[in-house]
Amino acid sequence: MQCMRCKQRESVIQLHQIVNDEQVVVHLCQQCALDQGIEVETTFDSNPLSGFLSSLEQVSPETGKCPGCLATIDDYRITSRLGCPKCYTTFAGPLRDLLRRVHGATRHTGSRPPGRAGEMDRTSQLADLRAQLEVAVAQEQFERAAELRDQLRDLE
Amino acid sequence: MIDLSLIRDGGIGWLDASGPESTMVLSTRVRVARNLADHPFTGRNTSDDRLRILGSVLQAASETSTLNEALHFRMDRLDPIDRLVLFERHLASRELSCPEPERTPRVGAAVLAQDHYGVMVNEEDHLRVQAVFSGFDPAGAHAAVAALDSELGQRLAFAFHPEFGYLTACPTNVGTGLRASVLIHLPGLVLTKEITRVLQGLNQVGLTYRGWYGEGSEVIGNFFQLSNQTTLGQTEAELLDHLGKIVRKVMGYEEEARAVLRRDAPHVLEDKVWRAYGLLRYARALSFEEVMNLLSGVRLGVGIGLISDVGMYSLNRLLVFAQPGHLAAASGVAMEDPGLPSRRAAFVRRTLEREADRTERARGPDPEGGDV
Repeated sequence: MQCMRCKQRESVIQLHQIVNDEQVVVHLCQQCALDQGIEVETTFDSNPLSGFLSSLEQVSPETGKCPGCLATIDDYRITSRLGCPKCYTTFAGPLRDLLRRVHGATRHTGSRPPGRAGEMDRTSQLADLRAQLEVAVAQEQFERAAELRDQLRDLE
Repeated sequence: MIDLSLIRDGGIGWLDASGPESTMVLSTRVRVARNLADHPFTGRNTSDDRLRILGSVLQAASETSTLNEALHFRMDRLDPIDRLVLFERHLASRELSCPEPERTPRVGAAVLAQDHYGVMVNEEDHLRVQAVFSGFDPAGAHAAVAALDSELGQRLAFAFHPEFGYLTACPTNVGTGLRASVLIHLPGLVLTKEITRVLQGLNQVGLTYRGWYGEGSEVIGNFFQLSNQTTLGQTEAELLDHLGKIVRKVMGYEEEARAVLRRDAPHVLEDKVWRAYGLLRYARALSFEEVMNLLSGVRLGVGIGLISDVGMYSLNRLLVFAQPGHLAAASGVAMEDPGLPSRRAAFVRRTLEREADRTERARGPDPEGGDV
């Protein structure tokens, strides 16, 4: 079955959602599922750090050092701890792989610090709107879909 | 010598067994890991950094409604025995308190405590904010932590990333930074040897278990700390809801195991329970591990209605006060004192005798004039 989002690739997952007390089934390919923050593989790695470390090996020496705390790959290897909050930005790429393995997800959906509750980063907003759009299309709510498409276009 | 009597219930209010399901579940703890945005994580910061962090946390805590009268203990200024007492009371982790005399706590390592609430400062993360409630109460403990977290968050700039959430030194805590753990007593599953299957099942549904002293510790007295393994990708409510559902299931399995034991091996079970009670009541020297294992038998006996002479509060108190640090501190002797096992046995004996007297008095005079 074709992916309902990109309409190109073969779908690999069926997403069952309850919208207004009705079950909606959305078929998605792996890429589109990932784009929406849906984890296709949820198996837990017995040693998740190994993948993280090997992906860090591919980071060049210049970018392999955190500008915030000068932590290096070797520091992780020894301590399994990040050096400072900035490390999360410096190593965002390989970290996503690690987080996917450890948590089965890469995006925080929980509470935010006071004063930042209304703040939502652009990526999350885009993902959220796209997911809503899929549902609207699947339910043939075309007016709602058009609205969402406009919102998406503005944001993009 | 620190004076824990200055905090209400000495920071162990959960001992009163007033919470839901408190015969099987000792306590529910919810903690969130938080870091200050403008400091390196603990592993890479300096003593000066940590002292500044501690200063900021103490100032912020004094302005909250729940920690405004908190006692705070500087681990790096306490004697090993006091650090051990805080560790045994589950107010400070092993990493923070360094309860072993040969280890030295890092500069700025501290603990704040008031009522249900506690904050560890300069642990692996700058702050570990926690609340511990009696019995099985994830919602209550989380509501308490969330309120305190919010009050602290208004005063401290927590490291937060729009995609990854609250940033922590170890990526296994990132996101919500939330770990909820339920300290549960599962003797039925251990006796029926079903425990391995249950623990393996936990792993498959994203939960993990630890022993009596938390991370890296052994299971003693059939007490297991069940907690969530992941912290990212789900809301706090979803994480707690999932943990709650699974723990309820485990409680159901434990009830089933107890029912099977009562049906298939009632005499063996009865013997086990009363033998444990008898040893605790009359033994003259007891190791802590022995006490834990025997208390497990007595607790099971109370849980299935075989023993009515012992209150849950006293059983819980024994679990805490028979620990090596507590016993040594209360007796004013060194940890290595060879008389500790006999002091422990005397303490246990006195507690159980008092309990028996109390229940005797509550029952009133024997209508048949039992005295010969």
